[in-house]
Amino acid sequence: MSKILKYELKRQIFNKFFIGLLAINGLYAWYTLTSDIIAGTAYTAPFSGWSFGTYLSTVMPIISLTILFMMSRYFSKKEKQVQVITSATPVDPIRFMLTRCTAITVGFILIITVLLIISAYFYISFFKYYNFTAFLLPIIYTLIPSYVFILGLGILAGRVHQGLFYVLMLVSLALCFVHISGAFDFFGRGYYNNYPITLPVSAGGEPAFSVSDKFLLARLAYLLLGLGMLTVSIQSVKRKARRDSLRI
Amino acid sequence: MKIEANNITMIYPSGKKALQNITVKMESPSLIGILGPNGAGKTTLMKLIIAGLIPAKGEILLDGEPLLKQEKRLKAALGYLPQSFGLYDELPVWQFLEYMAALKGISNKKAIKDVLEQTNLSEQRKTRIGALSGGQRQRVGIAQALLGNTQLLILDEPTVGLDPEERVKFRNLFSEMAQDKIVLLSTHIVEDVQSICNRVLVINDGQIMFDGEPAALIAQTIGHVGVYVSQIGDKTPDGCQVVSKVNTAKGIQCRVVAKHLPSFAEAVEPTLEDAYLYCIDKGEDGR
Repeated sequence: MSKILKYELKRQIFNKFFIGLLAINGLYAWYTLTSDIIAGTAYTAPFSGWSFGTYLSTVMPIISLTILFMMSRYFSKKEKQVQVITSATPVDPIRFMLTRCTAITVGFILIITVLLIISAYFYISFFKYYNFTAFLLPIIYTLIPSYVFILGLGILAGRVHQGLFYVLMLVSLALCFVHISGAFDFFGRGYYNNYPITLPVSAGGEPAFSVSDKFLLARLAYLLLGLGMLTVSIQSVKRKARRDSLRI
Repeated sequence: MKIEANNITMIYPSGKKALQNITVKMESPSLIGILGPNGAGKTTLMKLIIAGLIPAKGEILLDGEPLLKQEKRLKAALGYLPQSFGLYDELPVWQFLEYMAALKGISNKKAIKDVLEQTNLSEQRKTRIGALSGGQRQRVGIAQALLGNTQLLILDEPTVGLDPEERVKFRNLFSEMAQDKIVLLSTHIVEDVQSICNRVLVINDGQIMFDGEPAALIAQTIGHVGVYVSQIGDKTPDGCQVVSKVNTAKGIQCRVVAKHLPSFAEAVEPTLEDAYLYCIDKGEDGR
């Protein structure tokens, strides 16, 4: 499978679309850091867990758009024409699908790495701030559940109809501009902006980064829902492959 | 390898009956040509044999075992070229074949080199597929089908888009490959079947009209092919199907197939094309 993964990565990552989208992600991240995060979130420092969480949740819709774009390539009409050949090979369709999920995940990790490097450069150059371990929890809470949910939803949507990707992309784009508060805020931007205001100020002069149980439950729910959709897609792989042929 | 399709009926979700109660046995080595008009059921039969479709009725056996239980073994031994297929335009030829080899579980680079040579693509190995001509893309399709130790080679219209020289080269290659495997060749080019196939299946309207040696198909057409000279404006006699028309000094020389030749037509030696047309025509008359 390593050779298949190598080519999936080559097709997904070493192309002008991905490089372009990576550049857009980077520029949007820098814009967010220098225009919003520099002032801090909810009366906290720009380098607080809340501000960093806000940064990640602000860039996440654009990252989602990139991930959805990558996934849409696996369900395009052109891809289906190639599948006429690939489906006649002895490769295990579930392992093949998981290899492709791995390729998308590598793409996601690459984007995140670039955005974290940009943020590290921002914090060091603007604030001489080096304590990046404090950002670990916002990274886990914000990125992982949203990514797994989008991956599961995207694959499920792709198996239903390729057009659904465009709907999901539009929703993702709309979430850049819509301000949702509360624990179930999908990307968490509204939550990171509002929840700290309700917390007492600690010895450091600002509320410590401690999310509510409700928020944690919501993140866990998104994670489990994503895994659930992924499982449903995996289980339907073989059956669906043959049904597709029936329609030809 | 032995494949048996017993009493197969295939009905599409739209309700269209693509195959009706078909029984075919294939054993290696053999090169079987499938002939039939568009929509006859040739591609459906091929898809059933590669387990890409499940028959509505009947069973397909691979070496005596149900095909669906042996899907992995079948696909490990299968080389498949569909009629219509896509390729990854962004990959160079070599890399696409390496990708296909990985999907087929082949790690030997010599296998890729061999198929590149067989398909005359060695010079284009570093060329992006998107930059290839239609004929070259078809050759990439053939190359991926030939990859590995295939025991069953299914080729749906493999010579489409190839120039005459390439066509001859490829049909000879398929003939060589059939020495130790089953090669199933679906085509509209009767000449290809006549040149290399030791067995021909004629399919029309989801039914097998003929199954046997090309010579036997030709033999049953003797006395049903004739030529006559007609003039401009003359009508084709009833029950005759015109195979060809050639302008001559005496008029238009018509070659026809018919159950009963007109008295003015001179009977001639039939070709496989005549025999195929007669077989289809006869079948349609019988319904």
